[in-house]
Amino acid sequence: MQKLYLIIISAVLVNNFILTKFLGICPFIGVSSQIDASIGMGAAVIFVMTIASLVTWLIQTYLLVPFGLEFLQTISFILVVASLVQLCEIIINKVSPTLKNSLGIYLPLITTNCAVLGVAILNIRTGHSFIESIVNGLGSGIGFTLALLLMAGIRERLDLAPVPRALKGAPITFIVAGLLSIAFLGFAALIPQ
Amino acid sequence: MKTIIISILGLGVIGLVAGLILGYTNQKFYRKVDPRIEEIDEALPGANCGACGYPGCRGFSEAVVAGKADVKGCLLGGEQTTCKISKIMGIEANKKKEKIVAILKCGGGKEQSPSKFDYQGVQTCQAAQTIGGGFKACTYGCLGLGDCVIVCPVDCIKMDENGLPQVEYEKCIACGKCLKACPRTLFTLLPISTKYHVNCSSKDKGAIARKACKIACIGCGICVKKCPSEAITMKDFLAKINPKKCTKSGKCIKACPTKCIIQM
Repeated sequence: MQKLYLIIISAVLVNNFILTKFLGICPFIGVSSQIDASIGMGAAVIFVMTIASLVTWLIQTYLLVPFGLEFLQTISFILVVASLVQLCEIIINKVSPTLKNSLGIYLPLITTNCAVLGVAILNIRTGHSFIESIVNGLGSGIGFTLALLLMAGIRERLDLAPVPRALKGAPITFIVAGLLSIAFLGFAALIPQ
Repeated sequence: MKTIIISILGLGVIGLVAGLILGYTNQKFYRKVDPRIEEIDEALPGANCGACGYPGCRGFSEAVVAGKADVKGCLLGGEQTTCKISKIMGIEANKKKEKIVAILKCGGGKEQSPSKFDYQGVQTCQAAQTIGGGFKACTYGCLGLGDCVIVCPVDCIKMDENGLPQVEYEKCIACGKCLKACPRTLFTLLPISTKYHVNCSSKDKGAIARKACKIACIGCGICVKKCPSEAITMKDFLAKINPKKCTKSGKCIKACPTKCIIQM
């Protein structure tokens, strides 16, 4: 049980996908301008990451390894992620068309979000068990949402701040992202080596 | 050979299962959308300029299908788009709508109307207007810092050497953004067929207006007397032409002593 807690803390804070591994930067910059949209995006990513971890672990263990098809890992995982995103989109479209409109192009872009594929492949590479994989997927999704929300909060204030003209827009956003990432380095001491 | 077959089968199975699940959910969670929304969305230019007053082109197409928006609402697309939309909606669009453009009611550039003081502040009209009521000698005229240039969604406004914005009438979509951006509200929307207009907004008395700008309307009233169709009225020392009554005789242009009535 303790190991599961450790995995969650590690995925959310220490090995945060965006701020320490620098994966999935595209939606991080693209959707983080408003808090509402980033909550929706975060929820979608949590859903996709958790289910993707579950399904890809099953595929790896019961399909790819027994038949010696490990070389198909990437393509089959992308297939799974793409179908999950599509599933997510259909459901969101039914439940809340407004949310779908505000997410816009970034929702289908989760398909090619390297953070989602990254979580699936890293699960296999670190040799997580079935439950551990799911927990790691969930934790990574929460970490993604946390980073997105932090950034959205900062950017909503940044709009009102007197930013030097040369740094307005994307440059200041990247600088803030870098500072946030340095701050997250501090969490490394949470987990004893 | 065996590996190839197994890998094709393996991927095929994954794809098939994923496809079946997707197909099932798509039926289960099917949301009925009016197909006309999609069709109108495709017919629109897709610039998401917001000139129609709806959030983006998608918002406009939904509003048209819901009957809230007029089929002629898309200003950027113009006649062609209106034609397509009315075909989709099965409505006959009313006869040709005349093109409307934004016109600047000021002719006093740097040459005609000098500055009162040297303004070094933030280079926007909005900011300049707040300091001492603007640096320009004329308190009604164009400040020439180009707030209208920035807001124009189709880039049809350019600043000329005299410090006055020039509108390219062919490109203008009459969205009205420059009307709101100008702190002195110097723009007005007029049909492109309007031949003459008063190129001044000064409501000062003749002598003051003349001192501030060489080509100001001084409210002398000669044009009112000369106009054969009584299309010109005088209010607050400023002439106004009613385009509906104007017979385009051209007498006002010749009579105006300061040449502030001009031909488009």
